[in-house]
Amino acid sequence: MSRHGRVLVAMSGGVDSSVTAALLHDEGYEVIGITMKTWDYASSGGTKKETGCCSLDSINDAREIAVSRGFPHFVIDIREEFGDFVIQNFIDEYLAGRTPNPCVMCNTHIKWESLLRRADKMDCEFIATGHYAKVREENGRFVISKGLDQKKDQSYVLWGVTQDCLRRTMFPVGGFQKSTIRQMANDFGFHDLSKKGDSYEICFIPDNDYRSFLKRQVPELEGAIAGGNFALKDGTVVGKHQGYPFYTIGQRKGIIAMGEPYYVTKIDPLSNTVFIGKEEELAEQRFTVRGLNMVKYASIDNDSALITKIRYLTPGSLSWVQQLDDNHAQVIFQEPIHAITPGQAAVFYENDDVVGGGWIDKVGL
Amino acid sequence: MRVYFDNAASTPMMPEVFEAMTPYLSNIYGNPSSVHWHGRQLRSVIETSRKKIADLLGCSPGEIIFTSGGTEADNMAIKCVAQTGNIKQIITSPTEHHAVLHAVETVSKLHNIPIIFLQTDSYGSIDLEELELNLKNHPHKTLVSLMHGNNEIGTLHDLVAISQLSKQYGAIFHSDTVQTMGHIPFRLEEVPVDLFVASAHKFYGPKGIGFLYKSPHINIPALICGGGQERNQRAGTENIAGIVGLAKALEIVKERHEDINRHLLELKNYFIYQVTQKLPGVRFNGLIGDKTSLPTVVNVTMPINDEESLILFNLDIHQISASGGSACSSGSVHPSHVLHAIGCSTTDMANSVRFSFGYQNTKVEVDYVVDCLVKILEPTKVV
Repeated sequence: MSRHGRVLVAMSGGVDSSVTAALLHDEGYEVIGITMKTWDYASSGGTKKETGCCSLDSINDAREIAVSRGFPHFVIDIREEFGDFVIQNFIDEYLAGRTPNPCVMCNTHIKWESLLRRADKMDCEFIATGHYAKVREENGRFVISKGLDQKKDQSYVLWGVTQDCLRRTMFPVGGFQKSTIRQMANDFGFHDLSKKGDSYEICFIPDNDYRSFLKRQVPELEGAIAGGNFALKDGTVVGKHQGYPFYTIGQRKGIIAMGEPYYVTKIDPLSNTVFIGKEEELAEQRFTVRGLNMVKYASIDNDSALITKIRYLTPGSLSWVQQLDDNHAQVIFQEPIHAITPGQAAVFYENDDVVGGGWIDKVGL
Repeated sequence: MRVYFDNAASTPMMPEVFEAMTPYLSNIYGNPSSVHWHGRQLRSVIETSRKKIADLLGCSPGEIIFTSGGTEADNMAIKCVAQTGNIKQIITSPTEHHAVLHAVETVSKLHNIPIIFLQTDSYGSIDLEELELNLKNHPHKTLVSLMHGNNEIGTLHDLVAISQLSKQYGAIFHSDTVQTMGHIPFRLEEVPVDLFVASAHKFYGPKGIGFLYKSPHINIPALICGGGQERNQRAGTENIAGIVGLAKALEIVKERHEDINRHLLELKNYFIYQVTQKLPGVRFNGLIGDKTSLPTVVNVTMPINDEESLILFNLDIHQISASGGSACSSGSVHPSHVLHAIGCSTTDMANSVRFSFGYQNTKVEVDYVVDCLVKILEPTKVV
């Protein structure tokens, strides 16, 4: 029997989750490794670049760590639950004129639930992942905060994890710098892994070409939506586009030449119109979020001054957050912010702590 | 205690087999096709081994073709018979091993040969009358491919009856005998099978070696082309250590057949008894009688009402190796096509485990496994 109990470690085959497993194993936990196969590369089409966590090589890497350490490792095929939810949502969001964030969607609705369900069936008290974030208990709440390595911090993608899930979650690498984790991997004898690059792409789109992915997944899409209008704010039509789902708020490349820089400012799926404007037209000050999940506090007072992040690798900006109901909040930035993008996540911070977050819904107003 | 109850997947090699093989992995070298002294030594070893195997089976040495294992032998039998162009129909069953099913599907597409899948009952048995009807009503040459013992549920097909029916109607009969070779001996004079196969690691021999038995009445082209090895029927430098190991293993299991068989049946029946006593609600898939099923295999559906109980993972956490379904290249487990064919529900398939025994297993191990199963099946504790 282990000293600390049994922990299910989500192992992608990457350096962070491998070190996570090894650290817990060294601490005396009874580690059980699990790799969740979310996507079949053979069926994804596109280029054959295999860098995501579901590639055979990655699964083999994870298994190798388990074998060398002498703990069990299992591969679970969750393609169905993942595909039904995350990939369908990804497609639906683009078709609704928004820009989805499938990784957050996966964490919120698939990864943690999936892991905990399996953890229960294997009598595991805890689950652990290789995210750069911390979790602690405070006033009866389980609080996520930023990882020690500010450049690698992943708290932004974890806002949706519920309290019930966080109660049993550990992030062992969150207290270290990435460089330290690489050194540890090397010290543990995982020499190749310690040099393995970080993966930033969406796991089911390893070539990062979401437009081709959409075309393959929804073959009739291109014909149905090609030839919509590029329009200015006042409705003046200035050209034809290739279909509204292929554009993202703030996008500059790939739109019609206007003689000076123009950006996508708004997408209207109903009329298949992509609005473009000059840089200053991108700036907005207020928006609402839906699918609110509260982390540090059960609820927040009206007009709390919090730092809000609307994309992954930005420091965030001062804002006033007003909770409208259990599911919605309104955010007003102190200064206008460029390219607030419906479908992306907005996360509210108090210092390093995640207060809560939600999906960006209506912008402006 | 770490327990290995997955002997139908692969058996541990007997020490005598290992000993017989070592010279050919170390100081005895050369290519058996060479005409010099080194080559001659090895050629002689191969042919002696072939003769030994032929004697044990009651056939001529020339009827044994060494292959890389059972899968290759099954592929060779089916693909090369189909390639002769004489076959106009294939009769098989949905509970066959994938080595047979996928080969049959491939040749069916390639040569446009219709496949007839015989119905199996809930135990995985076929109806001999249905087989006869399909043979009788078909004027052209048929290839019948039916296994001897089912690798997942243990049910035995009546090889004598099938081979006689095939003979009576002029069909070619191939049998995947991977699970019975070395376990249930038969002699060709009693069972006139045209093509059957062996895989050494299923009877305490090494992996990577097997053979195809081919009746002298059947002429087929080679599956793997190149040099003239195996009388031009299977090219590639021979796996000498493997061939020596195969012959040795077959010799030993033949010599000790009575003892090993008695031990296996005792273990299997003890396991069945203990499981039935201590786990109310378990069900057995396939036949379990001493004469109607493999002595090595028991397939159990656990009384769990959950489509994903992770029973195999839990057994592994308790250091018990058993199997269920088939593993894909990544290592995730797919539901068993055999259980599906005999009408198991999705939930039952997810909760079925194949335990398979070997000569080295003990009753103490059975007790341990049954105790662990009782623990695992306790209602999930609230964490």
